[in-house]
Amino acid sequence: MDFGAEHDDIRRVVIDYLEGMVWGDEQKLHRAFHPQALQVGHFADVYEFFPLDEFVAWVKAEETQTDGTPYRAELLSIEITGTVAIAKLTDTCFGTDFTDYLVLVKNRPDPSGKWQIVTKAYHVHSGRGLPVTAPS
Amino acid sequence: MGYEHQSLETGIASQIAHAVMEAIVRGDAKIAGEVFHPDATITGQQDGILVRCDVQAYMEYCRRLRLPRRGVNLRYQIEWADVSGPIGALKLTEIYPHGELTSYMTLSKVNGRWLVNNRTLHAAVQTLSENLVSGSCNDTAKLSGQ
Repeated sequence: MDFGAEHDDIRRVVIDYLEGMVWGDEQKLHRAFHPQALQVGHFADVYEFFPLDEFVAWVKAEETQTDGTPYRAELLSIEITGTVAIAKLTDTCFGTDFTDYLVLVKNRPDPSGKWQIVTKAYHVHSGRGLPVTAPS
Repeated sequence: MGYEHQSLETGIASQIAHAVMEAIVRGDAKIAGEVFHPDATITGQQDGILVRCDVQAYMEYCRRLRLPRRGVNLRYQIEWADVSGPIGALKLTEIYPHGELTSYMTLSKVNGRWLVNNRTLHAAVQTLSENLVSGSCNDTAKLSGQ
């Protein structure tokens, strides 16, 4: 397995996710996420689980930026085991600073395989959606 | 950056890993309920097809596997753990007679308790993966294909 290539492929998935979200590009979101992807996390005081369709609907309802608008994000780490990986990143979207863990799987171990996000765990650390009550 | 990144406290990671292992080797839904969120999912792949099942289905299958119960804490290793605010991630490797199983778990702190909300599996031996991931879902007809 070529770990450099795997990292590059995962980085491209993360960019699709970020640009799909910030720019409201549904095609990029569907490329980044597996159709059965689940999201789980903390927004305001709510702990929530929801499928990809709800996430896409939420993005479409927000004031997205036009394609090419710069955005803030930092890919902090990528950890790979065979056809499973996890990426940690921070990003700013719709006035909210998030930290995300993205769990990805590759559908085939060979170079033709495709990485996609199957689980996203997130929390807000500043901006809109910050919990009102302090976490216990 | 104005926020904090830290290593997941060793004690918390160990408690979660041990509880997950206890639940698996015993197939004990009660132990699983203490460490997995009620909506948690187990995720794996079979021939490139994503399979998911809930914790109850997974525990039913683990119970039927009749995994040896002795030396639970000798058969796993925490490879990596990380936390950011109320979420975290844990990489666990489990050692079985026929191969190793690695999982990435995402965690959330809910009402003061750390819980696993997803466990995504990768097995070094395919048959092990099929047994521990797909088999459990297939047996209980709770999988959904790609």
